[in-house]
Amino acid sequence: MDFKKLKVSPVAPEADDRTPVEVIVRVKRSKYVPKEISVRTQIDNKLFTAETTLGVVKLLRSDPKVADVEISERLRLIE
Amino acid sequence: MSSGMPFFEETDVTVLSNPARIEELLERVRTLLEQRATTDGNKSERQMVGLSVDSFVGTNITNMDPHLQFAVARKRIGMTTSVTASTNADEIAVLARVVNAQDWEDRSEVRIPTIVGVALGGEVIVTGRIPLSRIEAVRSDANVLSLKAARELKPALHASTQETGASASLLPASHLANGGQGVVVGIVDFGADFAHLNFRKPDKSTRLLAVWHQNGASVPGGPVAFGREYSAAEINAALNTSTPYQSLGYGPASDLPGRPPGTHGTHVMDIAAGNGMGSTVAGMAPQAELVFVEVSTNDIPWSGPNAVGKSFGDSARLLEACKYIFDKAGHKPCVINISLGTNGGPHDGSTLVELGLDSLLSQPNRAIVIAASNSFDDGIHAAGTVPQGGHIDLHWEVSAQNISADEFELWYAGADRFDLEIIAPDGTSLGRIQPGETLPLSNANQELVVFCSNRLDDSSNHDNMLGVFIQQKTASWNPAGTWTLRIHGMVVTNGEFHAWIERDDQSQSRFAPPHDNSHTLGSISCGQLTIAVGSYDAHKAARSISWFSSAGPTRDGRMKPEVSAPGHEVEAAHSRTLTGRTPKSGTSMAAPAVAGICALVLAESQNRGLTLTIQQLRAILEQSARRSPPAGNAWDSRYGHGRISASAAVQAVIDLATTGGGGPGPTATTTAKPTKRAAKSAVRSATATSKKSSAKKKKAT
Repeated sequence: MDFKKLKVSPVAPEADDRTPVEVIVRVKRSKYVPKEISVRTQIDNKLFTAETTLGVVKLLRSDPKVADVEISERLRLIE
Repeated sequence: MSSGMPFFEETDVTVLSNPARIEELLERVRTLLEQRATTDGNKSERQMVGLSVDSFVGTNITNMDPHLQFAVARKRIGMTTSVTASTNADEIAVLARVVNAQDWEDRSEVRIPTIVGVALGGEVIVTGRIPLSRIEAVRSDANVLSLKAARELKPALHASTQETGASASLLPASHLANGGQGVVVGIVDFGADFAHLNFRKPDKSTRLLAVWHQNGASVPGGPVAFGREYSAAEINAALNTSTPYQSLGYGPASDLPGRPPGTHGTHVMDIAAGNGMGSTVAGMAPQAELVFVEVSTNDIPWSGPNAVGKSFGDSARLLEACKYIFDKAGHKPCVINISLGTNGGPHDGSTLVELGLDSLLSQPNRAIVIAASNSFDDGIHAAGTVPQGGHIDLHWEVSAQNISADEFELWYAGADRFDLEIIAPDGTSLGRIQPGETLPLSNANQELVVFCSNRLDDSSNHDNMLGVFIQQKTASWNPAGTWTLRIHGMVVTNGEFHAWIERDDQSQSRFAPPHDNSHTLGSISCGQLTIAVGSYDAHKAARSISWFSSAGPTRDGRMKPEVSAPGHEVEAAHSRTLTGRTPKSGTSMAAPAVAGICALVLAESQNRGLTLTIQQLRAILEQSARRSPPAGNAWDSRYGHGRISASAAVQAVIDLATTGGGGPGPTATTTAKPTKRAAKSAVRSATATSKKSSAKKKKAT
């Protein structure tokens, strides 16, 4: 394999904002729900899950009342 | 002669000269006999036909097997041998080496003759059942070169319950654990065999309160946000049909060629709480109620070669699964077992899924138990300290069979600034990125094949993370070789880092040796309140740690795994057999043992009017755990605080209820040595709660 032929891509890959994702959201204020999403499962007063899109995740990350947003990560069976 | 399925695909008559091969073949015999036992209802045949190499290699045929001598002696003095499912009264299962298989079959006293295989010189290994009165006659037959009694094999789950002291007979005499009665055991896994008799009541109805199949077809207006919930009533209705899985629309997958037999979820649920009604061997909490969640993911195809035999969940759905189980349990004490994880992540308990699991444990009488992971020997962790102005090289070996993508991530302190330089296997430096930058690399076909990022201020913990993704091998891209990741210290106040290579079951890449196998816990096993469990081999007198059992501590230095339990060759329920068992190994088998023991402790506590917080429960488990191994009194990176002890943990609750006291709080969890004294002090912390609870009750009344 000639690795010298690898080139820096001119544009970093960008996922489509419309890509559906499931997320875990942690908010700073109890029971706060950003208007862009609806809660699927309320875990506690400041933590919930939701179905949304990558575009909305970007909005949530700039929401000062949102502490953290985690796109659901694949987990494998420990076998 | 009944030969059943062929035992040998090959016809190599020298095969039995290889001890390892003999063991392999004998294991196949065991499996076959077990399958037939299940089919025929001969459920104890598995125990009767315990074959061993030692019983066959180097046999002195002039001496009768002592087990046979004993059987004959019993017969001679008039003692009868009990009938078993596989043998009639005064009959014994035997293993023989014979000259001619047909002659063996032709002997009238040999029942159920079966060919096992061909030995050196064309001799044949056979099994059968013969009357005790005919042992000497059969043995003296010139055709019979060796005759051995089949030895009883102790089922491994039995070994687990005995070794941990969870058997009712080994619990303190005054215990009120009642097999976990009144406690809900929740399992988040794959493949619940609700039809297996180990999960049914004596009237054959289900012990399951519900099953949530997250990937099932949703019912509009149903009780779950997605997927399909099956109630106990629906499960019972299905059990009353001849095709329960089809009737319910859910069931464990059939065994697949090349995959371990039996579904994981059925096996795990049996270890935690099977009642042995089918397999004859009970799990840890056989009277507990059950809830099962078949977890799923939303982002991978569920068909095609890459999905066959694979099981995936995802973090959001896992969190929802646990919330669902606790909601189902309501006010009942509840413990959940999880056997999911990956290698990556910050390993400091800061992921939202770990924070969510911790949050669910804010109510008392709850616990979540997680397998530590099986990655100890995979070479997936590296650590070090980058000097200011200097660099450290990490060597990452990508295999030639690279059929799936490889991922690397490195975590370091938020105040530091590292540059990442990536050097290909041929020595070509492909680039160097500074904090906040990314580096996408494409091949001549414009395919993105390598992607690097240098990300600052992770929102979960404000640490920094370097990530590298290498695309899998294609017709025009072959990443095989040793990659060098050069970490440059640009601004260093701490310099320490930990790096992991993501799990890849198809073509695992690894760091070049020598390996640092510490910090190999799974990605979601690092929570503050969840209980991570390592595995040891309960069949060995030394109680050796399982070679695969991952090591702690967490990246932020906390002592996880908390405890260890038997997880090696654990024999538990085999799905789709009603009564069968199958062996499996892994921390996945150790965690449910601890989950089941948590159920016993919670039941004991409830029946004595106590309420346990998760901190108190953790303290009880840790400080009642046994040593030797592990050596000394300090926390061990793989055994944790020690080997779980059901009897000592239950005794701690009894002591708490009967003697009371007021000692140190649950902060003792991570600092106290696991001595008896410490265990007592740990449980005193629960006393305060108990007293407060009692006081409240008195006020209320």
